[in-house]
Amino acid sequence: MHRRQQRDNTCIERIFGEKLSMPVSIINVTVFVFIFLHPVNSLGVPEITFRNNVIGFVEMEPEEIFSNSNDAQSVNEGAFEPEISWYGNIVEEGFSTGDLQLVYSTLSFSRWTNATGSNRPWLWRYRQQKNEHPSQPSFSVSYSIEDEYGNNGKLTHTADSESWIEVTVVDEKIIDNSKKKRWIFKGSAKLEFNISNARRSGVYHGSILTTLTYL
Amino acid sequence: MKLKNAIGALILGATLISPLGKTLNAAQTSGNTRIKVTLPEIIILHYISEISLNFTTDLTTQIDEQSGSWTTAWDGTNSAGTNELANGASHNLEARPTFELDGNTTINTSVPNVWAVRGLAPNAEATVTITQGKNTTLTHTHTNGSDTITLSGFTISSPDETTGVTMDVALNGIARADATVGGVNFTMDLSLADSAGEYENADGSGFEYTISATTI
Repeated sequence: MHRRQQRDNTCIERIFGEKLSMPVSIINVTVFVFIFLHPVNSLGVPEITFRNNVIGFVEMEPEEIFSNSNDAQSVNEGAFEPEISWYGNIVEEGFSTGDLQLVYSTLSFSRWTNATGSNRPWLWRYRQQKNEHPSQPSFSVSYSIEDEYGNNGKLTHTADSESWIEVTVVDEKIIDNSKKKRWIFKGSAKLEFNISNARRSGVYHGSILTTLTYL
Repeated sequence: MKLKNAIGALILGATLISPLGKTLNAAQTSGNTRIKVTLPEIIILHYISEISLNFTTDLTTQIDEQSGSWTTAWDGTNSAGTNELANGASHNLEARPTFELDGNTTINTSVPNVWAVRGLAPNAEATVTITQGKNTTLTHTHTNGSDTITLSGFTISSPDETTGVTMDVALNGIARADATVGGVNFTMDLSLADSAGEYENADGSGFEYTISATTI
């Protein structure tokens, strides 16, 4: 699609240039129709690339949610002094779930999409020739995440659809790497993972849909 | 002139088949990138570190042993009566209290909700095991000697009331509300407990058991 758009753009420029000197022909008519169908191409179409290899984030470490790096935590809930009947019955309970110490400081951790150990630090890239678009391009980026079942804002465990991680985009970064003749912008997103609904260790899958809107 | 008309017609045609107003707005391009994140195995074991069992009431009660009769002489001496409570012959007692321990000196008990596990595991389960430790004989020392209570038969119980020395339980996640909570069961032998008071070890500690939990 992208190549086709570039071709279209080149075609438009050539015809505009010839328009003043060439006699009117049926070709000019065709061009007018084409312009109304794709007016956005009048300034040149950017080349937009999305990262197509799987982003495997660095594994969560226990210290990201606990105050120490142990993956096994033992918690002393103190003393218990119940009354016992001569039949051995004890009615009082040692604790309920609401009494338990929290242990963790948070149930969320975050990762930038480029924090993967990969040498491709961007999630998307916008490139455009400056002679096609002399002023700095204006565009916006939006992200959405879904698991393999189409559930929005989730990543799901590979072996258990009932075990999932809630994911939200909490920050984004756009780097301007523009050169003399070309606009170049690269973007990445910061994702926050909430493990409140995860019950399994292991790999959670999903995808991030990046949408660039430009003039 | 004809040419202008032709152009106008074509422009009009294009306008009719194309949403002209919308195409003047911004364009969009989307791309999908697969992502994956890995969670480690995590287990949290909550435990009560000290359990003190207090028997609810002292063994005091009034028991009506029915009527007895004696013949008393004018000099005050009594003849042998009927239904007399013979010293040491407890089998003569008519009405025994329901908490009578005579002949049944062991008490089985379950202490509810004294351990809990939560976390993340490959199969969303954990193996929980109880091990009986040292100091399972507790002593009460008094002025006339000492008495003991012995503890044995330690098992754990899960929320579905199954019991065992070791068992696999659900591990429902990290959140506190998702914890799997269980109890501890054991038997107390009071056959050598002839005195009231606190039974403990000489150093003031109590009986010991150990609970361990492993992700599976």
